[in-house]
Amino acid sequence: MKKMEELKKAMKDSISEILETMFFMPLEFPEEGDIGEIRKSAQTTLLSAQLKYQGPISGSFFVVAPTPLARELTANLLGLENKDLNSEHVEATLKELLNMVTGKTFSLYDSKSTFDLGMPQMISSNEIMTSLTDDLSEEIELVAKTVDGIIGFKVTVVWDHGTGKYQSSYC
Amino acid sequence: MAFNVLIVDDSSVMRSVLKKTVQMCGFNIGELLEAGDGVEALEVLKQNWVDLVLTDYNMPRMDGLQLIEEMKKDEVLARIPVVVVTTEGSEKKVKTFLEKGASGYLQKPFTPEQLRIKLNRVMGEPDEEDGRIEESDEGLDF
Repeated sequence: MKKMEELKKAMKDSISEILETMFFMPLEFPEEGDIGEIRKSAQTTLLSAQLKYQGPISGSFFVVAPTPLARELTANLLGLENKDLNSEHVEATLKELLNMVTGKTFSLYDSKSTFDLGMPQMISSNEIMTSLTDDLSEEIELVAKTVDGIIGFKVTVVWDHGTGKYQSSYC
Repeated sequence: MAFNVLIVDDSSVMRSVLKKTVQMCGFNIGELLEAGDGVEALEVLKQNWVDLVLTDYNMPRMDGLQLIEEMKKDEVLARIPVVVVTTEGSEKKVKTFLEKGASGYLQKPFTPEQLRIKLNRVMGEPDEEDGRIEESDEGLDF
Protein backbone atom coordinates (compact mmCIF):
# COMPACT_ATOMS: atom_id res chain seq x y z
CA MET A 1 0.00 0.00 0.00
CA LYS A 2 1.40 3.35 -1.08
CA LYS A 3 0.42 5.21 2.09
CA MET A 4 2.16 2.68 4.33
CA GLU A 5 5.30 3.01 2.22
CA GLU A 6 5.12 6.79 2.59
CA LEU A 7 4.70 6.44 6.33
CA LYS A 8 7.67 4.05 6.49
CA LYS A 9 9.87 6.50 4.59
CA ALA A 10 8.78 9.35 6.89
CA MET A 11 9.64 7.18 9.92
CA LYS A 12 13.08 6.32 8.55
CA ASP A 13 13.87 9.94 7.71
CA SER A 14 12.71 11.22 11.09
CA ILE A 15 14.58 8.51 13.07
CA SER A 16 17.79 9.25 11.15
CA GLU A 17 17.50 13.01 11.61
CA ILE A 18 16.64 12.83 15.31
CA LEU A 19 19.30 10.30 16.28
CA GLU A 20 21.96 12.19 14.35
CA THR A 21 20.92 15.74 15.33
CA MET A 22 19.98 15.34 18.98
CA PHE A 23 21.77 12.14 20.00
CA PHE A 24 24.90 12.33 17.80
CA MET A 25 24.36 8.71 16.79
CA PRO A 26 24.62 7.76 13.10
CA LEU A 27 22.65 4.69 12.10
CA GLU A 28 21.63 2.47 9.23
CA PHE A 29 18.53 0.46 8.49
CA PRO A 30 19.17 -3.17 7.48
CA GLU A 31 16.97 -4.34 4.60
CA GLU A 32 15.43 -7.08 6.71
CA GLY A 33 14.68 -6.96 10.38
CA ASP A 34 11.96 -6.94 12.98
CA ILE A 35 12.02 -5.89 16.58
CA GLY A 36 11.71 -9.49 17.76
CA GLU A 37 15.39 -9.81 16.80
CA ILE A 38 16.33 -7.21 19.40
CA ARG A 39 14.81 -9.37 22.09
CA LYS A 40 16.58 -12.47 20.83
CA SER A 41 19.97 -10.81 20.50
CA ALA A 42 19.82 -8.66 23.64
CA GLN A 43 22.14 -9.82 26.40
CA THR A 44 20.40 -7.53 28.86
CA THR A 45 17.05 -5.97 29.76
CA LEU A 46 15.03 -4.00 27.24
CA LEU A 47 13.35 -0.63 27.75
CA SER A 48 10.19 0.20 25.81
CA ALA A 49 7.78 3.09 25.44
CA GLN A 50 4.46 3.68 23.69
CA LEU A 51 2.76 6.83 22.38
CA LYS A 52 -0.84 6.76 21.17
CA TYR A 53 -1.91 9.10 18.39
CA GLN A 54 -5.15 10.13 16.74
CA GLY A 55 -5.83 11.95 13.50
CA PRO A 56 -6.50 11.00 9.88
CA ILE A 57 -4.75 7.77 10.90
CA SER A 58 -4.69 6.45 14.43
CA GLY A 59 -2.80 3.93 16.51
CA SER A 60 0.45 3.79 18.48
CA PHE A 61 4.15 4.38 18.06
CA PHE A 62 6.57 2.17 20.01
CA VAL A 63 10.30 2.18 20.70
CA VAL A 64 12.38 -0.62 22.19
CA ALA A 65 16.07 -0.49 23.07
CA PRO A 66 18.51 -2.54 25.16
CA THR A 67 19.27 -0.72 28.42
CA PRO A 68 22.97 -0.03 27.57
CA LEU A 69 21.99 1.65 24.28
CA ALA A 70 19.26 3.67 26.03
CA ARG A 71 21.88 4.83 28.55
CA GLU A 72 24.27 5.79 25.74
CA LEU A 73 21.51 7.80 24.02
CA THR A 74 20.77 9.54 27.32
CA ALA A 75 24.42 10.37 27.95
CA ASN A 76 24.73 11.84 24.46
CA LEU A 77 21.55 13.91 24.73
CA LEU A 78 22.35 15.33 28.15
CA GLY A 79 26.10 15.60 27.73
CA LEU A 80 26.64 13.55 30.90
CA GLU A 81 28.89 10.63 31.77
CA ASN A 82 27.16 7.26 31.71
CA LYS A 83 28.00 6.74 35.40
CA ASP A 84 26.12 9.92 36.35
CA LEU A 85 22.81 8.78 34.87
CA ASN A 86 19.86 7.39 36.80
CA SER A 87 16.86 5.40 35.58
CA GLU A 88 14.69 8.54 35.54
CA HIS A 89 17.06 10.21 33.06
CA VAL A 90 17.05 7.13 30.84
CA GLU A 91 13.28 6.63 30.81
CA ALA A 92 12.63 10.33 30.20
CA THR A 93 15.06 10.25 27.28
CA LEU A 94 13.44 7.22 25.68
CA LYS A 95 10.00 8.85 25.99
CA GLU A 96 11.30 12.11 24.51
CA LEU A 97 12.92 10.21 21.64
CA LEU A 98 9.59 8.55 20.87
CA ASN A 99 7.78 11.88 21.15
CA MET A 100 10.16 13.49 18.65
CA VAL A 101 10.03 10.55 16.23
CA THR A 102 6.22 10.56 16.25
CA GLY A 103 5.88 14.31 15.74
CA LYS A 104 8.55 14.50 13.05
CA THR A 105 7.17 11.46 11.23
CA PHE A 106 3.74 13.02 10.93
CA SER A 107 5.08 16.39 9.84
CA LEU A 108 7.00 14.61 7.05
CA TYR A 109 4.13 12.25 6.19
CA ASP A 110 1.30 14.79 6.11
CA SER A 111 1.96 18.32 7.39
CA LYS A 112 -1.48 19.50 6.25
CA SER A 113 -3.29 17.29 8.74
CA THR A 114 -3.40 17.59 12.50
CA PHE A 115 -2.46 14.62 14.66
CA ASP A 116 -3.16 14.62 18.39
CA LEU A 117 -0.33 12.97 20.26
CA GLY A 118 -0.78 11.32 23.65
CA MET A 119 1.81 11.33 26.41
CA PRO A 120 4.59 8.76 25.95
CA GLN A 121 4.55 5.99 28.56
CA MET A 122 6.98 3.27 29.56
CA ILE A 123 5.62 -0.22 28.88
CA SER A 124 7.00 -3.75 29.10
CA SER A 125 8.71 -4.98 25.95
CA ASN A 126 6.21 -7.86 25.84
CA GLU A 127 3.47 -5.36 25.10
CA ILE A 128 5.19 -4.31 21.88
CA MET A 129 5.59 -7.87 20.69
CA THR A 130 1.97 -8.69 21.43
CA SER A 131 0.34 -5.37 20.45
CA LEU A 132 -2.94 -6.11 18.74
CA THR A 133 -2.80 -6.68 15.03
CA ASP A 134 -6.11 -7.67 13.48
CA ASP A 135 -7.61 -7.65 10.00
CA LEU A 136 -8.25 -3.92 10.14
CA SER A 137 -4.80 -2.85 11.26
CA GLU A 138 -1.37 -2.70 9.73
CA GLU A 139 2.02 -2.14 11.23
CA ILE A 140 5.52 -1.09 10.31
CA GLU A 141 8.56 -2.34 12.18
CA LEU A 142 11.96 -0.73 11.73
CA VAL A 143 15.25 -1.84 13.20
CA ALA A 144 18.13 0.63 13.20
CA LYS A 145 21.75 -0.38 13.73
CA THR A 146 24.02 2.02 15.58
CA VAL A 147 27.60 1.57 16.76
CA ASP A 148 26.24 1.09 20.27
CA GLY A 149 23.56 -1.49 19.45
CA ILE A 150 20.20 -2.05 17.80
CA ILE A 151 17.08 0.03 18.43
CA GLY A 152 13.58 -0.81 17.19
CA PHE A 153 10.55 1.26 16.28
CA LYS A 154 7.04 0.17 15.46
CA VAL A 155 3.85 1.94 14.44
CA THR A 156 0.38 0.44 14.31
CA VAL A 157 -2.29 1.91 12.02
CA VAL A 158 -5.94 0.90 11.90
CA TRP A 159 -7.40 0.72 8.40
CA ASP A 160 -11.04 0.12 7.60
CA HIS A 161 -10.96 -1.87 4.37
CA GLY A 162 -14.73 -1.61 4.01
CA THR A 163 -14.87 2.16 3.70
CA GLY A 164 -11.39 2.77 2.42
CA LYS A 165 -10.80 5.18 5.29
CA TYR A 166 -8.55 4.98 8.29
CA GLN A 167 -10.36 4.12 11.47
CA SER A 168 -9.47 5.34 14.93
CA SER A 169 -8.20 2.91 17.54
CA TYR A 170 -7.23 5.66 19.96
CA CYS A 171 -8.43 5.38 23.50
CA MET B 1 21.71 43.24 29.27
CA ALA B 2 21.12 39.77 30.73
CA PHE B 3 17.95 37.89 29.75
CA ASN B 4 15.98 35.77 32.19
CA VAL B 5 14.58 32.75 30.35
CA LEU B 6 11.78 30.43 31.47
CA ILE B 7 11.83 26.92 29.99
CA VAL B 8 8.51 25.04 30.13
CA ASP B 9 8.46 21.33 29.30
CA ASP B 10 7.05 18.30 31.10
CA SER B 11 10.20 16.36 30.23
CA SER B 12 13.05 17.08 32.65
CA VAL B 13 15.42 15.80 29.98
CA MET B 14 14.21 18.34 27.41
CA ARG B 15 14.45 21.13 29.99
CA SER B 16 18.10 20.18 30.55
CA VAL B 17 18.77 20.04 26.81
CA LEU B 18 17.15 23.45 26.25
CA LYS B 19 19.05 24.98 29.18
CA LYS B 20 22.37 23.80 27.79
CA THR B 21 21.48 24.85 24.28
CA VAL B 22 20.39 28.33 25.36
CA GLN B 23 23.66 28.73 27.25
CA MET B 24 25.56 27.73 24.11
CA CYS B 25 23.76 30.32 21.99
CA GLY B 26 25.98 33.16 23.08
CA PHE B 27 23.30 35.28 24.74
CA ASN B 28 23.93 37.06 27.98
CA ILE B 29 21.70 34.85 30.10
CA GLY B 30 20.70 35.89 33.58
CA GLU B 31 18.49 33.34 35.32
CA LEU B 32 17.35 30.14 33.63
CA LEU B 33 14.04 29.19 35.22
CA GLU B 34 12.07 25.96 34.74
CA ALA B 35 8.46 24.77 34.86
CA GLY B 36 6.92 21.36 34.15
CA ASP B 37 3.66 22.63 32.63
CA GLY B 38 1.62 25.77 31.99
CA VAL B 39 0.25 25.94 35.53
CA GLU B 40 3.73 25.91 37.05
CA ALA B 41 4.91 28.39 34.42
CA LEU B 42 2.26 30.95 35.42
CA GLU B 43 3.38 30.63 39.04
CA VAL B 44 7.00 31.23 38.05
CA LEU B 45 5.98 34.20 35.88
CA LYS B 46 4.10 35.78 38.78
CA GLN B 47 7.13 35.55 41.06
CA ASN B 48 10.02 36.33 38.70
CA TRP B 49 11.00 38.80 36.03
CA VAL B 50 11.16 36.83 32.77
CA ASP B 51 12.31 38.19 29.39
CA LEU B 52 11.60 35.12 27.25
CA VAL B 53 9.53 31.93 27.52
CA LEU B 54 10.43 28.74 25.64
CA THR B 55 7.52 26.33 25.91
CA ASP B 56 6.58 22.85 24.79
CA TYR B 57 3.05 22.38 23.45
CA ASN B 58 1.92 18.94 24.63
CA MET B 59 1.96 18.99 28.46
CA PRO B 60 -0.36 17.77 31.23
CA ARG B 61 -2.69 20.14 33.13
CA MET B 62 -2.06 23.19 30.91
CA ASP B 63 -0.50 22.94 27.44
CA GLY B 64 1.63 25.52 25.68
CA LEU B 65 -1.27 27.05 23.80
CA GLN B 66 -3.33 27.51 26.96
CA LEU B 67 -0.27 29.05 28.61
CA ILE B 68 0.00 31.64 25.83
CA GLU B 69 -3.73 32.38 26.12
CA GLU B 70 -3.42 32.90 29.88
CA MET B 71 -0.38 35.15 29.44
CA LYS B 72 -2.24 37.28 26.88
CA LYS B 73 -4.95 37.99 29.46
CA ASP B 74 -2.39 39.70 31.71
CA GLU B 75 -1.17 43.15 30.72
CA VAL B 76 2.42 42.52 31.87
CA LEU B 77 2.80 38.87 30.87
CA ALA B 78 1.29 39.59 27.45
CA ARG B 79 4.45 41.48 26.48
CA ILE B 80 6.83 38.59 27.12
CA PRO B 81 7.85 36.84 23.88
CA VAL B 82 7.01 33.13 23.76
CA VAL B 83 8.70 30.63 21.46
CA VAL B 84 6.99 27.25 21.08
CA VAL B 85 9.53 24.40 20.92
CA THR B 86 7.66 21.23 20.11
CA THR B 87 7.43 18.02 18.11
CA GLU B 88 4.17 19.28 16.59
CA GLY B 89 4.70 20.09 12.95
CA SER B 90 1.30 20.42 11.29
CA GLU B 91 0.76 23.68 9.41
CA LYS B 92 -2.58 24.16 11.18
CA LYS B 93 -1.03 23.85 14.65
CA VAL B 94 1.82 26.23 13.79
CA LYS B 95 -0.69 28.76 12.44
CA THR B 96 -2.70 28.45 15.64
CA PHE B 97 0.40 29.05 17.81
CA LEU B 98 1.12 32.26 15.93
CA GLU B 99 -2.50 33.42 15.87
CA LYS B 100 -2.70 32.98 19.64
CA GLY B 101 0.35 35.19 20.08
CA ALA B 102 3.49 33.04 19.96
CA SER B 103 6.51 35.04 18.78
CA GLY B 104 8.16 32.06 17.14
CA TYR B 105 8.09 28.33 16.61
CA LEU B 106 10.83 25.69 16.47
CA GLN B 107 10.25 22.03 15.76
CA LYS B 108 12.19 19.31 17.56
CA PRO B 109 14.72 18.06 16.66
CA PHE B 110 16.68 21.31 16.44
CA THR B 111 20.34 22.25 16.36
CA PRO B 112 21.89 24.89 18.64
CA GLU B 113 22.31 27.04 15.53
CA GLN B 114 18.59 26.87 14.70
CA LEU B 115 17.71 27.87 18.26
CA ARG B 116 20.24 30.70 18.19
CA ILE B 117 18.73 32.05 14.96
CA LYS B 118 15.24 31.85 16.41
CA LEU B 119 16.24 33.64 19.61
CA ASN B 120 18.07 36.31 17.63
CA ARG B 121 14.89 37.02 15.72
CA VAL B 122 12.65 37.07 18.74
CA MET B 123 14.94 39.01 21.06
CA GLY B 124 16.11 41.40 18.39
CA GLU B 125 19.80 40.80 19.01
CA PRO B 126 22.07 41.76 16.13
CA ASP B 127 23.74 38.76 14.51
CA GLU B 128 27.51 38.70 14.22
CA GLU B 129 27.43 37.33 10.71
CA ASP B 130 25.16 39.53 8.66
CA GLY B 131 23.25 37.79 5.92
CA ARG B 132 23.89 34.32 7.31
CA ILE B 133 20.65 34.23 9.24
CA GLU B 134 18.40 34.68 6.26
CA GLU B 135 20.27 32.01 4.37
CA SER B 136 20.33 29.38 7.08
CA ASP B 137 16.89 30.08 8.52
CA GLU B 138 15.08 29.02 5.37
CA GLY B 139 12.04 26.96 6.18
CA LEU B 140 12.13 27.77 9.88
CA ASP B 141 10.62 31.20 9.80
CA PHE B 142 7.25 30.76 11.40
